[in-house]
Amino acid sequence: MPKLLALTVAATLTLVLAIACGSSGEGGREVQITQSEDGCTPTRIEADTGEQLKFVMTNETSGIYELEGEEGTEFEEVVVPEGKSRSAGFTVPNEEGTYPLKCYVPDGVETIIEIKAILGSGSPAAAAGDTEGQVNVELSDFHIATSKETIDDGDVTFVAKNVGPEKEHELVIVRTDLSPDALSTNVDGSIDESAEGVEVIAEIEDVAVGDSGRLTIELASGAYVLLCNIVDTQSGTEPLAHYAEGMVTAFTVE
Amino acid sequence: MLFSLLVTAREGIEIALIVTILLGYLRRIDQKRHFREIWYGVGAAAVLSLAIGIGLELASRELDGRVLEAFEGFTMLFAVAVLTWMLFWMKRHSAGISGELRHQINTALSRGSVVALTLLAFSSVGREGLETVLFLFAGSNSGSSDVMFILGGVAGFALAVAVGVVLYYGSAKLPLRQFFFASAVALMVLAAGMLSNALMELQEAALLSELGPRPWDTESIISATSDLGKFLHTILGYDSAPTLAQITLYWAYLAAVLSVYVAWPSPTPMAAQRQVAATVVVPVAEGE
Repeated sequence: MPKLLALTVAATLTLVLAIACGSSGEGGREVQITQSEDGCTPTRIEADTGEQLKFVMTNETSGIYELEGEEGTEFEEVVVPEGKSRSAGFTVPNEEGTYPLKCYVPDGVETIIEIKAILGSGSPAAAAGDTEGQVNVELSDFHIATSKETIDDGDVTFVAKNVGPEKEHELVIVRTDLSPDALSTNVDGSIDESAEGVEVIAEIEDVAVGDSGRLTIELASGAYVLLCNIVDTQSGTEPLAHYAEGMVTAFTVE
Repeated sequence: MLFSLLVTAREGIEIALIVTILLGYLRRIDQKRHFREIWYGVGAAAVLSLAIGIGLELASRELDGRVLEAFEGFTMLFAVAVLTWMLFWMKRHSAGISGELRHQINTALSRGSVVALTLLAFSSVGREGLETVLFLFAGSNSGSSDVMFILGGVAGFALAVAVGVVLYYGSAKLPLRQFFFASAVALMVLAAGMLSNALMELQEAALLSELGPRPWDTESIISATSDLGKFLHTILGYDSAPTLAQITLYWAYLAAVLSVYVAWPSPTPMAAQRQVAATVVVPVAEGE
């Protein structure tokens, strides 16, 4: 009997070790997901096809939170205990498309996080750089430069790179016939995104210095404005609206 | 994989033992022509168990979200209850099981009822089959990949068949009593983990809300999302930050069933000896 038990224990340990050594380290780009009483942020994650991501989920509530794949997205359910952080890897599929994740409290708030997969930098289309349907946008403090001012209608890919040196930026694509410097603004100097004659089509949010954001969208022909609508607020100083500082440029789709 | 291997090996060997006793006795009383009926019964039990397994799997695929989690949670609780009961039943009755089966064969043959033999095999094997399916299903939603899980299950059954063949031809004495004891302990550990996992499922189904504080967090040592973490989750109910309710239930169950199982009185010293004879020697002896 002791022999048999010893043998069982030894076999189990060997198996555990084999699995432990075999398990691959979770690499990949870290994506922070915050789980709060009101839902999860961000609700949209840009990624390259085939990219390895590592979700770091932080549950700020006092109950459990879950994250799992929706509609066929292959991401096994992860339970994040109250007040804890958990991480899990996700490999973006090789097909371009949107892969939804459900971030939810059992019987409570539910947020759909969309992972937008676009052809990765390793892919032929991206390797070609500034291709036909692509606009490279350089965001800086406080200027927006585009690789082209007009583009044909249809699917347009914006690749926005923040070259800094200091501030975080975003790229807002606005459909408007107004001139870039004539948009109506809020008191803090940012543009009023719900004003008449202005339609926000899409945005690449929160691009940190050195980072790039990528977005493919179908655009109809017309006049557009690209801008950064971030306002820096610091106590004791005037709000600093990036738009008012000059982060805006006209863009035409033919 | 270890999970399914352990479950099917244990349950499969119980089945092999029953079938060996039935066939061995028929052979001894020169009724080998009735082997067919026994195999019909075993076949029918296998089909029924498989059908129930597929049914459970299909049902769980139809379900979604909270309902699915509640379904899984309750299946786990049910599986633990059935398993615990069966382990104790087996320990209590293993002494007489051989004699009982032989008695039932005699009754069936004396009534000239061939169907009764099939039914006998069907009911004794079917019970083990259902237990296997239930426990496999309850442990299948977490842990290793499907392929490994199935491989483990198949390997366990293959081992059981091998044991059955050896028992029938009586070429060796197998340490079955030791195996039953060791596997019972292992299954109790699995069951304790399953209880803890069931609480978690029910919490995810929003049927339980307050499970108490989480005294520790070992996520940085063994991540619950890593392969090792998932493996330990299936086998031991590992959770990097378990709630007090999970910890308490796990240890309370393990302490209770283990101490009762080890201390469970064998009916009489004589019966205890017969138990050894019944499980190990008799099928071998009957082969002579």
